[in-house]
Amino acid sequence: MKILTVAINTLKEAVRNKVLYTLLFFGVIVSGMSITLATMTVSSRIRVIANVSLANIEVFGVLIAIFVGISLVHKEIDRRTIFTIITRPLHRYEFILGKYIGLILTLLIQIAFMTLIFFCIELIFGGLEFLPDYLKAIWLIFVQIALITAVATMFSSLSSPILSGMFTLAFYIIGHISSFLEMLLPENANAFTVMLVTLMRYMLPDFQFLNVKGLAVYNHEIPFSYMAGATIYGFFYIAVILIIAMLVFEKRDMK
Amino acid sequence: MESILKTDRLTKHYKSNMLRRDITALEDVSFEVKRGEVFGYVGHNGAGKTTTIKIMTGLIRATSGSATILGYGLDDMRARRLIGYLPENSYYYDYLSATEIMKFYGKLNGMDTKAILKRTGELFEMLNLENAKDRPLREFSKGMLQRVGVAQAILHNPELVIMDEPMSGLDPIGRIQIKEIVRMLKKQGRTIFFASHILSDVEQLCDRVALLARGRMVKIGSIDELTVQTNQGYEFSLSDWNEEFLKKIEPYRNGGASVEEHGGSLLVTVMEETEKDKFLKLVTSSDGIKLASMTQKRLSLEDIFLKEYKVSHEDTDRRN
Repeated sequence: MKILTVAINTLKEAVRNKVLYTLLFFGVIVSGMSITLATMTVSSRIRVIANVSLANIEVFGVLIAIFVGISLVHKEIDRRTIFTIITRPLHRYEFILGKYIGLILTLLIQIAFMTLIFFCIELIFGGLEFLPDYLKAIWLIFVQIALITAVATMFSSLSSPILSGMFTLAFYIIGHISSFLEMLLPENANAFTVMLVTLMRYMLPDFQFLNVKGLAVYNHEIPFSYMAGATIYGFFYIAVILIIAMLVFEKRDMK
Repeated sequence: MESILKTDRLTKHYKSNMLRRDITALEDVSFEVKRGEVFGYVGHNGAGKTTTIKIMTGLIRATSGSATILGYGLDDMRARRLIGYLPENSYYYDYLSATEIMKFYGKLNGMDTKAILKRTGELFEMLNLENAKDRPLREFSKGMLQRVGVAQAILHNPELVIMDEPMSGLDPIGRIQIKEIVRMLKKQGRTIFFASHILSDVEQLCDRVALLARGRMVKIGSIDELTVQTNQGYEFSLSDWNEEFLKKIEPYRNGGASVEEHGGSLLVTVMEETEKDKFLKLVTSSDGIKLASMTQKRLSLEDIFLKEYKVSHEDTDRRN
């Protein structure tokens, strides 16, 4: 209940934040641009629209997750609004979870809004038959964004927004190339480098595993077992990262 | 009387940001706050008042020592339910209206919406915030924000209200209002922990006072206890005296009593209680001499505070 109170307040704050609307505005503009691109293409218009729109949902979702997430907890400490919150009968972990869920609710609204625009455009161009595949891709985009939000929340509870932003972005980029990390190693790499890369490979989440945009756009089958596995994989990382965030925050002095 | 708050040798060390030097913010601070009293916590800036409050409210953790609220440890949620906290400055979500912020805090305290709205109505009426209840806090003046601060601190009817520099930055009207609120809360039977460096406010409002200097507790007691310990003599204010009377008090003057004329009165100050009794007899047995007043001269809280601060300063220098 108290977690929900913090979450709803976080959502309220985000809804009243101009940055969110600016990003949403640009998201809508890019969605609109997919129509222009589609009319200029010689291949399937539906695929071009789907390609641009799905990438658009992911990029703007990640941007909002990073921009809002990196200051999510830090701002509360910096402005000391946290002083009248965690001095109440509220566990610190409840505060972190509430802030996280609040931002996730905000992102869900953003994703739903952009998905609606995407589907409206698809409706105009007759691509609605592929909606189930698109929805699967959007769901895994949401899992990716939820994971990035967890990372931003963790860094925000122990570092400044600039550093948190840099770390979270680095996490996102490395997460996308982690499956190729070992391939990047030169043949004569020393044992330590190999060990380090292997460690990173297994510690960092593989965002490619959560990326089925290509399969959805080209209407390849995305089995339910894959969706379930990828979802559990993403949620496992989210849980681990949030637990780290809560443990770190529990020990922190609010000076 | 039952103790609401008890601290036992609270100590807090910080690491300085740049040089990672060990800084002692609080050292071996022990005190008890009794139910129903206004407990003044006095110290210069940086004395450790806010550090103590932050430990008590769970914002920071003590390096060593302990504290309990009605027997519950500070990390215990039952202890948190018993306290209301007014921070030094107004740290509230300024995008929310006064009513919205009360709903938010009330829910965190486990109150239902109906109870929150009822209590908020009562508090806003008492604190003259009714006309501003739907305005966002960013439009509020400093005084209004401080009143919102008081409202959120007592929303859930806490046993112990912790106020950190509640007069900070307020104009005279705002200060009077806060004083009235403190008196009213005391009348309602609440215990108030009143941290301040404005000694006149503390003297007016507090039943007992703890003096803090450089992170150490230097004195604790009621205002009377603290000032009686610093007896500065007994002053007699006399009128209609004559030459004969002046001759009679010559032995007192020679014994160290001060005698001076001031505004048509003769002011005689004797130091010891036995001398006071003898002098009183002399005055009452002398014809025509009128005794206007007799008062025990004491150091003010401010004088005591300055004296203790100097002692602690010298003590720290010696240790270094």
